[in-house]
Amino acid sequence: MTHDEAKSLLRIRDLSVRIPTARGAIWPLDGVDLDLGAGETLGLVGESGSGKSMLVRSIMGVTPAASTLSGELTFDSVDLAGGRTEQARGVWGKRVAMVFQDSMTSLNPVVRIGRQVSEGARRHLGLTAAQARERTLDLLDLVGIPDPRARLAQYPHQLSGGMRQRVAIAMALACDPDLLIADEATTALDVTIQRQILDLLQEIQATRRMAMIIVSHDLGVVASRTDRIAVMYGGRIAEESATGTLFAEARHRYTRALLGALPTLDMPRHSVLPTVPGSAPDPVGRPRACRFAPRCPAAVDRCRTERPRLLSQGDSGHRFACFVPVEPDAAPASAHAAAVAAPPAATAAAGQPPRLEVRDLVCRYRVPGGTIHAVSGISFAMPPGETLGVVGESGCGKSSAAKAIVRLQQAASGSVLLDGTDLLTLSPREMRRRRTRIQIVLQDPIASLNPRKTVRGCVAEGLLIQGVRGAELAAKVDDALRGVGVDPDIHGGKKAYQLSGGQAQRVAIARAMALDPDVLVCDEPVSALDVSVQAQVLNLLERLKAERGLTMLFVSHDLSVVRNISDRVAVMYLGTIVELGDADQVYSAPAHPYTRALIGAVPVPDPTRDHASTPRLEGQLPSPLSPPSGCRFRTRCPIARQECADNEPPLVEVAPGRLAACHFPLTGSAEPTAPSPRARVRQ
Amino acid sequence: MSSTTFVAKKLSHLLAVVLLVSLGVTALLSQGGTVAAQILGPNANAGQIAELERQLGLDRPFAERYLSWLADAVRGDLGESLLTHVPVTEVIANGFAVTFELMVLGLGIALLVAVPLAAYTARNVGGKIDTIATGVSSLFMSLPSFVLAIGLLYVFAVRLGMLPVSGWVPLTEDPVGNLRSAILPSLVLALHPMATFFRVLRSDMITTLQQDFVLTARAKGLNTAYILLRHALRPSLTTLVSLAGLSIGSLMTGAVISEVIFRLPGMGSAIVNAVTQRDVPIVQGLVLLVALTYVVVNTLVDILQAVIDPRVQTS
Repeated sequence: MTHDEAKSLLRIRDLSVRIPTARGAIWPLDGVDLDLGAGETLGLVGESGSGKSMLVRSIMGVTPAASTLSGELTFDSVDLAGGRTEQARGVWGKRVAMVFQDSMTSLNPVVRIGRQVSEGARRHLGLTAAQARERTLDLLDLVGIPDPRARLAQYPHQLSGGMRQRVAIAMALACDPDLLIADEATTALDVTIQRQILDLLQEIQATRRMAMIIVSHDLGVVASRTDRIAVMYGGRIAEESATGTLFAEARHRYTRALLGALPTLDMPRHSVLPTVPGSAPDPVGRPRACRFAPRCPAAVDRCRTERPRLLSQGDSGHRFACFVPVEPDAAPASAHAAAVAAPPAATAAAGQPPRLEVRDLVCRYRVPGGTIHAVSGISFAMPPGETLGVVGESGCGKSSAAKAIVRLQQAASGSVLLDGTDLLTLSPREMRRRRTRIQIVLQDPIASLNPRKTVRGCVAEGLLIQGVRGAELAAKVDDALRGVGVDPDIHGGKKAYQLSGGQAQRVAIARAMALDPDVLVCDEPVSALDVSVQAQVLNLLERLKAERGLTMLFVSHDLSVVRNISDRVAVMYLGTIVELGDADQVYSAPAHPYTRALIGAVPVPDPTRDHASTPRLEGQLPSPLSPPSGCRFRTRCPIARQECADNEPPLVEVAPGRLAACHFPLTGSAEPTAPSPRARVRQ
Repeated sequence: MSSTTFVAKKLSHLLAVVLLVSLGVTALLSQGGTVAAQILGPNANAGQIAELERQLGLDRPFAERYLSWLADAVRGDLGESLLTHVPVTEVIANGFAVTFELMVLGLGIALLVAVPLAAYTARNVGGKIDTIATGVSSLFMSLPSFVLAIGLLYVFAVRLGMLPVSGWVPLTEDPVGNLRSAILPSLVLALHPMATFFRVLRSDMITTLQQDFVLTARAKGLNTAYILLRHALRPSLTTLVSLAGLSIGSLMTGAVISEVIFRLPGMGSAIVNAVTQRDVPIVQGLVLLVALTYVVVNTLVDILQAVIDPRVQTS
């Protein structure tokens, strides 16, 4: 789409934001140029520290108090960079509105929904209480909230995450804005809910013909829902073009790297992902150089001494800021990944005793008002050297299961056999000795390392408990750190908070690996990391696994990541395993309707893919306090029948090596053709 | 949990605490000498004391004495002074009216100053008013209240002659005079909690103002005063409300000191006299009232917490 400046709704020229800090001024935004036309949808993509959030906060007039703006920022000819003028105040919240990332924190917990949705309209449109109430009801209805009248008096914590985000959208739409900004609006949501919200935003955008900026770190989210994409790096726009162009022929090295680092559902499993070395740039100062140069494999001297300008290629509207762009006819970025594949994992021969076997594991928690059935009897066995991926949405029990397996949480019943020994019945003393054999890596690397200990201290702790002392200890610690690519001489004396997220997760892995375990349990190990860093950590895990013959239980909500790293996949829903089998088979031909819906909801970084073709999963996850009778998925299942409510389907083999817990498992890719209700039930 | 069971549960806790306190006080006062020795003076012999104790019913077993007192108390009869034979309820009514007025005024002044000031300074951290208010609050927190009392007395009563130095005009006789006699003692009472309330609310407000939902409110284009009042104040009140409830104890102690300095006929002097004279019914009655006030206020605080933050009840 060519861009006509005359029609520009939002016009940004050389916009910079400066914030003084103790270390010197930082520039979260450093000379940004951007235009947005009426009714247009722009994807704003970047990793943490790229400046994408600061850019939209500048547009909304909510930059931090200490910051100063310079440059030009106008919305429909109204100056938004010159402070809180009367004209600007007529734009913010009225003509431009924003939906924030986490509705748990972005909605006020002590203000009723009705007031939160209506107060903007009352302020800007001067509505009476009654008019505002009518408008709120209409808006809540528009965003698909059932029984809006009852919601008016409710508080945010009484709604589910998906419903809260719908409220946040209704709130943003209250004054019928010309531009809606969605700042990571679906990042905190599960994929099936994310899909619902993205579809909703797109419908509203189309019917109201408003412009929209979708800010996301996830290229998959913006791929099929935007007209144009701007990629940000280090406070600057690195590349901007029509969405299709960006995915097909990205010219900037960073965009290429970002696209390549993303595991996708269609690349071969165990692919070694191309990575970007290093981590996000230090925001202090505004160097006369390309911000990406220190991490760029193609950087030349000029990149380090001169700042590349964002220049247009002809009049295609494709702009990029790079002195050494990738040739336009080079292979698409995502194809690079497939080039190198790791050796296939040593899958166990049949008959070999399992390294880790979980039998009927049950976890419950007492909460006020009942018992949460987090894990309701799951069983699986892993031969030595296997990677089993566990996927599912929040509340499915995958993390509880992972923690119960390493005995960090008390299981209500069941057994966890490690080489035939039940870990759950060992005495605490025995368990402590046995802990060297099975280790865990947690989600938030910085929070999971003791803030008072140095990197060396964190890694040494487990060894100390096992009685390793002196020179042997020091040697083992440094070996473990080197093994994960952390230089002990540079980083060994630092504290966790002084590390970047990627470094900290490497240290957390080193901490686990220092004990030389047979089994590594990873609970969302890359969820808190940026895409380029995530690829580094995934590659590291693959390498460690191959070198040490690790058996790995990999828990994640990210289906693409799980598929890439796993040999087999277990799909969990509300405390039960609904499907288990070879990763490729499960993804290509899911047997359980939930698996199919889950895979269909994954945002794919491919603008040519039509996301409307896969069925969307409606509704919310039922409460784990009182799971539905029979099949737990039946309340959201498109093919549920009476049978499903009466009997809980057991996890049985539906094809060789494939287990599914469904009365009517899907066969092949075709829709199930009304099977005789009892025919498939195996008891 | 429904709100009815929530309140019922709180009320049952309240009852238990009041019973335990009254039992404890009676037990403590039954140790050592009795009022009989006080009445008869230092020359009385053991037989005379025993005789008077029998007449007063003090020779009965402890449990029996406590239970009969409790049975009367439930019917609203707290007995009478062993020395002056004035009904306990009358002693309480006279003294408590004064003390209660001081406490309410003190708490009111403290909150009225602290809340707006904290809201303003939290929005303008490091500004002139913030610097002054933070400095002055440190001063109030570190000075003992009797020093403040004497200072205020000197300035307003002695030098400026605006207010009476001491004495008490009951509210029923002359409301203006009553306020004039109450203003200095309650100000003395207010300064310390005022400083603490200000500090606590200011820091909670600063935290709240950094929350995402405040950013959302700003992005909605709402004006600053509305955001402070409607969005930021209520979620910041939890610590302040707990603290205000707990400060009832120190307010009562403070009131006793104020009463001594300003020579007011409050509960403070009554309770001190009764304890030294072992006038058990008076002490029992006053302590019961103090405990009841404390517990009732803190029960209200718990209920108020649930009103302020709707998440409190359900979790």
